[in-house]
Amino acid sequence: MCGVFTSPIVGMEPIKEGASQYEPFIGVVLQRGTAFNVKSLATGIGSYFANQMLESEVRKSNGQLEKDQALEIVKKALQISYYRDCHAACHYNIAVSELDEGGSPRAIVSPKSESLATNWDISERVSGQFY
Amino acid sequence: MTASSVYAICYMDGVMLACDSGAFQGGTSRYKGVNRLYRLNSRCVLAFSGDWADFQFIQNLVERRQIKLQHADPDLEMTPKMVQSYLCMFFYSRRSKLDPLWDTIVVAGR
Repeated sequence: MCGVFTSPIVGMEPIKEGASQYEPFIGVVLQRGTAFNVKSLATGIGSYFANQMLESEVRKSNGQLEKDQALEIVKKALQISYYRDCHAACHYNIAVSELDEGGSPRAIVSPKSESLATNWDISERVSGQFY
Repeated sequence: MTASSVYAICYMDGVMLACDSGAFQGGTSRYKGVNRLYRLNSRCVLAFSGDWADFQFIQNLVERRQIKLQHADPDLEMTPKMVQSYLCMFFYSRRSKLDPLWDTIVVAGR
């Protein structure tokens, strides 16, 4: 005697065909099990520095950014985080997920890290107390 | 061992993920050449900010799940949506045990 006192309801999504089944997707899972999808994202302390910039760039282009534009924006975000965040390194890795010539998805994580161009000339003119 | 921010952006024909390659122990820069991006399959890339060890644990879980799926059909690949909802449930169950995973995971792909 062990009834299960729930009435489950199951929903389904229609199966998509062709390229539309490979929609670009960015999903986030936070520490406590909350999740959401976005078109652009910065996590950690970067969410204070760069979220605004990333989102307004995506909106400005109506989601139609070119790849090299996207790379420039992401580099800018990384640069800001390197200047402002004391827990950031000046080397970065990029991963790209797109469709290949045959229309099937491919994900590439660049094996080599690249370094950011930064300029610290201003530091000579900064005075005050440092921690 | 923790790591800082992850950046992700959708563009015309895909998704781009970027993270810096530093791992820190408290305020000390401990490792400088860490790749924080993990390619699960041809559809899905994971990145983390937060605890590195917890991410390695998650990496292990998700990879096992992918292999298990391929026992049924070698062509099956977990979609980013599948990975996200799995991790969401998993993170929630861990926080309900008062033992949360110290990570923010970004799942990106097509």
